[in-house]
Amino acid sequence: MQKYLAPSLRGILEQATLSRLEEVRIRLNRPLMVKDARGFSFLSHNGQLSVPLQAYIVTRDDLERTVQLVTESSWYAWEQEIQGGYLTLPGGHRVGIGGQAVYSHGVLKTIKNISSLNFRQGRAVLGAADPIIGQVASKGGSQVLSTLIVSPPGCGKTTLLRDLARQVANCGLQVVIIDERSEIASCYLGVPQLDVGVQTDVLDGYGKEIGVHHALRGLGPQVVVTDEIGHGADAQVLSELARSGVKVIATCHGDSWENLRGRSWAKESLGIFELVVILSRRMGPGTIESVLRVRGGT
Amino acid sequence: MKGVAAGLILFSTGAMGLTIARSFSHQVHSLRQLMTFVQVLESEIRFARTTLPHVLAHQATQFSGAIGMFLSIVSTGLKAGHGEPFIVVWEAGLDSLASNGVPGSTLEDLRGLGDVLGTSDVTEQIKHLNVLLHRLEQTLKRSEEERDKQTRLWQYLGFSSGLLLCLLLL
Repeated sequence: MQKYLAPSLRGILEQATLSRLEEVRIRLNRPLMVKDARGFSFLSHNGQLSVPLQAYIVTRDDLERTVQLVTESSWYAWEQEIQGGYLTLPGGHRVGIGGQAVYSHGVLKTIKNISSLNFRQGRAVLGAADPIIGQVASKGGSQVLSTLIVSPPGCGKTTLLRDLARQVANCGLQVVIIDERSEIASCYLGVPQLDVGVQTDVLDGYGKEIGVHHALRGLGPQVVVTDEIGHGADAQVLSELARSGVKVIATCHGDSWENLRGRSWAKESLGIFELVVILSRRMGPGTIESVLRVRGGT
Repeated sequence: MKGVAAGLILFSTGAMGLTIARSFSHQVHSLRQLMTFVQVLESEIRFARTTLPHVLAHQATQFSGAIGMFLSIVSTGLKAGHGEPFIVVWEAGLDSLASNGVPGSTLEDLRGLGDVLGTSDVTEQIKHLNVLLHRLEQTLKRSEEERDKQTRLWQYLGFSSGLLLCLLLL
């Protein structure tokens, strides 16, 4: 991830003693900040942990050079990603972009005057799905249950989903990931940067509707994996998959199954799921609170 | 002895004339190669959103001579990982083109492209490339006319000045 930082910032990070770097936050005219296993901290010009007043202040040159490196001097190549607010780098690392929005006909066209970048280390947690894989798929993959992972943001839904996809695919099933925001497989130039299994096809950047059409027409999936359902339009997509006999593994924002069922879109959308996994951060991200067998959304 | 000297004079002046005449053809060849490169770049951006380091590195292997060297210099500069503004790397490549007989007006046009290449969305990039293509077409037309006129003139001048020298000296 460091090679995408301006040389001056790269030099500082190389001197720093960090315990499992998670984030690098670059904000114009403000102190250089990192996050590691110990939490957030500022770095001085020689890589020492420091207070904000003595920390290295990020210059415009640092920011512009970093943007050049991240975009490979080719802003046009990342239009779609920039509209989504972040880029994916080789290795599955992600760069969030902060700046001034430019709208055209009511749609975000691009971001100009970039003032901050947030680098997040991409990391797959292999084995995250070990506690539930036995309930989601039988050994050998002869039976798979359509599964919904539910939690508030930041509880490890996508991490669990990715590992489930990997393990289900490795059981011998054909898996298609519809990766709307490149968060599951973290594709770079179309190639998954994180392990999503040996029998997995990734539809990167596809909307759910068109992704499902393409998957069903061309890729013959037994299981479709997708992130963050929760809109009225998803009901049609999910029922199309159910009609085709394809199992679905998906995530959804929420804190409990009861609350989720009460939502307006839930009645039509949730009927296809047979298993619901509730996550929390109670004992750290990825804490499995409960695994519920459900049928017909009840 | 006189015959050998006359032969040498004729050979030297003739070769000079041919070399100057050939420089006009080189210019036309370089302009055609540049146009091909810009067309490839336009379609790579329009249809594949290929990044500049990838397009330039690949195209550097497709062209020989001045254009190949220019693309190779820019591609290497981009891969160096210093994050310099694109125009800085592009300028370094243009220096090599300048010493290879590409017309000054074309160098200015390319410098203008370097200021904007990679800095905006696909639609804008295509507009810039189309403007450059149009200008290159005009320059190529002028260069072809110039070549047709000058090639014969310099070939004729080379040999006829040799003959004149022979008559005067021998």
